[in-house]
Amino acid sequence: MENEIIGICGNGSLAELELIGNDPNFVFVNDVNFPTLVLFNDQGSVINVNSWIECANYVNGGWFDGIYDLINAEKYVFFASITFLIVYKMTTRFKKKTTGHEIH
Amino acid sequence: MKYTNIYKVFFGLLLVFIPWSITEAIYETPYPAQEIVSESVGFYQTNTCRYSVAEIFQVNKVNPGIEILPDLSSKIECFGKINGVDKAGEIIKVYVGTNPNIDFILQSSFWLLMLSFVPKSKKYSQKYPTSFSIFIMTSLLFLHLSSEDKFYLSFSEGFDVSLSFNNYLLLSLLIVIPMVLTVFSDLIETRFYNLINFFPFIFLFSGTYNSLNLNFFLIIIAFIGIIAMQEGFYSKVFTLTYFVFSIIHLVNFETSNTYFDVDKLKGFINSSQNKSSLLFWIIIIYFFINGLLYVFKESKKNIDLQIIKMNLLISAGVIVVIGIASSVYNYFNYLSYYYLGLNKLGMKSFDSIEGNTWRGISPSAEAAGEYFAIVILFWIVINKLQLHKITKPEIILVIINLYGLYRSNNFAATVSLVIITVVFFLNNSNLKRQLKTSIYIVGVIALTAVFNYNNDYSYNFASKTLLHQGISASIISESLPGNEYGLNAAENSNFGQILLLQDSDIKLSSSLKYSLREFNENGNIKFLPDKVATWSVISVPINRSEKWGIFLAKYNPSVREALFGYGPQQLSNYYLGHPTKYNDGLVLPHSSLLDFIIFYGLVGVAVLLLFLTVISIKYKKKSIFAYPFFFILINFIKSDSILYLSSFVLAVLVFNLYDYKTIETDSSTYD
Repeated sequence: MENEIIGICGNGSLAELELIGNDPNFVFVNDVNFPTLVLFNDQGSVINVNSWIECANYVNGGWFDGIYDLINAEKYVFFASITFLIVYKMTTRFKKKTTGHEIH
Repeated sequence: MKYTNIYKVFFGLLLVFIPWSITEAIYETPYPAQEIVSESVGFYQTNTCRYSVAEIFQVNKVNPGIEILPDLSSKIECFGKINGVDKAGEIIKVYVGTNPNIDFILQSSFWLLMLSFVPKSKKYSQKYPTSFSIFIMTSLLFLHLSSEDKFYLSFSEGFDVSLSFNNYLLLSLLIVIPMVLTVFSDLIETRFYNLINFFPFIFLFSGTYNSLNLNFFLIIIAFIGIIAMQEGFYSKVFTLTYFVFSIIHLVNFETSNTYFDVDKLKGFINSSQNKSSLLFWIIIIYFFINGLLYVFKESKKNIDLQIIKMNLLISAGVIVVIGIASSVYNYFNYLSYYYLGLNKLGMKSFDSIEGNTWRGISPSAEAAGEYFAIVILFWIVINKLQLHKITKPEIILVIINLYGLYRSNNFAATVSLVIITVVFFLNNSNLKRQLKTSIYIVGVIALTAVFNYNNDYSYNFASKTLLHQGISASIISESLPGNEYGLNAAENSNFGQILLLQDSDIKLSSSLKYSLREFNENGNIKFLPDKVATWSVISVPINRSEKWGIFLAKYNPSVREALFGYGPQQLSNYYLGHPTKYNDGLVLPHSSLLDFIIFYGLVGVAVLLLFLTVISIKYKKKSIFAYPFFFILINFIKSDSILYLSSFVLAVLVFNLYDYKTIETDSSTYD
């Protein structure tokens, strides 16, 4: 998890993160030097985080930084391939029927 | 340049650059890519799957301290991104994410694009639709994926081949076959008869997929093989013989839960030891050979020796140039590996390695040397036969080829090239028969003298070396008693005593045991040298005694397996079936003849040799066939070239040149 936090949020004090773990009233303060990051959870919810500690807290809670993790990429590859195949077949058949041209 | 070619070049550039340039568009990367040095290794280890190759290139344009390698275990979304960095001594290894699904599509697309550059010939019309052939090939891919799952599981934990509509990993792989073959069918419709003239480029574009144990040319030629069968083309004798062998292989096959690390043989060897994977290789190799024969038969009237000659020279020249470029520039090394479909990454250094060899982008220096030499041989034979004037580009390309041959340090290929060339010119000269005979006799005496001068081994030593090497490679018990000098029977090459030892003392393979018995117990037939001793004596000067000794130590077949082999492309039984000191790392037999014995046994070799003897005697006067034929025959005895698809294709085509009708101006005879 430590690597994931550093990977997504950058370097910071992990000890700080443990401190807020038991405090339900902790308020995150915006860090103007921290570029806003967009995090996602497995339900597809989106959140903007504005400080390292806020980012680390959410990543620690299972949020991640790319919607990639929600995507079944193979599914997209499969449907893209099917689409290509159908379009290609239709185009070449149409081309052959109308002009008699072969494929270049 | 034609407009279509401009489009193709543009599309090719997109295929080469776009996949490695996709950046994270979804959010702002908090930290830009850094120069890859020891201090930033930790940064890249925590920031995996974030920076594309293009991004790190911008800050590491010239960084000789990095080595770029593919990371096969990557997810699709991490394709083309830096997925790991490790420090290994002075070098930092940078792993780029790759994935079987994307590799299959991307590499196939690139090679199809390359095929589209083959000039058009007359139209090839098929009687039957290709859908049946495509269905067969897709089924074969499923058989391959399910039977060789250990290969894929070795780098992809989630690899699953269960047939389900939700298993998109499998479906997205299977759909590539219809895609590729549909486009391929359209491409060859107008290029089929020209394919043969451009076959030399198979040595440049090896066609091995990065993360699949498959080869692009294996797929498309096997596909042609199926079409050929539909068209009614197949050799009855070959089919029947192959069928009988296949039944024997399948019935007697011993399944084992082993995984054979294919390494540089990727794409043309079975990685598993089960009946399903054997069935896949039996079927695909049959269709592959049938496809090759069909292409040759159908297009032999269109063979243009001048085009083939130039394509041989160009492909070999480009191989040398790319080999040099990829050894000096790490990004080029990676891209050439990926887009040429190399069996393994090209050499990263311009320096020679063990044995003073330099293989460039080829999987083996030996195979590379053979190719450079046969290219020069073809160039000489074709130019002489067709009375062709040598052009300046040809001279430049021949010089590049000679440089490649020199760097490969393939002594056997160089010597056989020189001898065969001399014989060719003598046979084509106007010298009198008696003078020619005298030159041959003097030549043989001179060669024998040089050979003896360079080899000061006694016959007694040379005749035992092979067996000694075999015993040294076998596992010997440490408790084996020694003689008064502390040397045990194995170290002392006391073959009689070794044969009396128990299996717990020394693990002798059946082939080594048989050879020891033959050498030790069976008396010599008068005036005939002992066959094991002869084999050993031959192996010493050609530097094969160690490799062939290891072969004897490892090769442990039953009588049936010795006669009929383990099956096509089936090395795992040989490799892992018997424990020796060489069960790790890819130690190959270093002889295509021995490879063939492993695959098809002694009966298979006998059938092949019978066929080759008949055609070599019958067509010995056909120069375009005879000289390359003998060159391949000589060189394949001491190299594993038959295990590489490109060399296999070359051998099949050369062996079929006997059937090629050319206008030869020579009147060569073998006196």
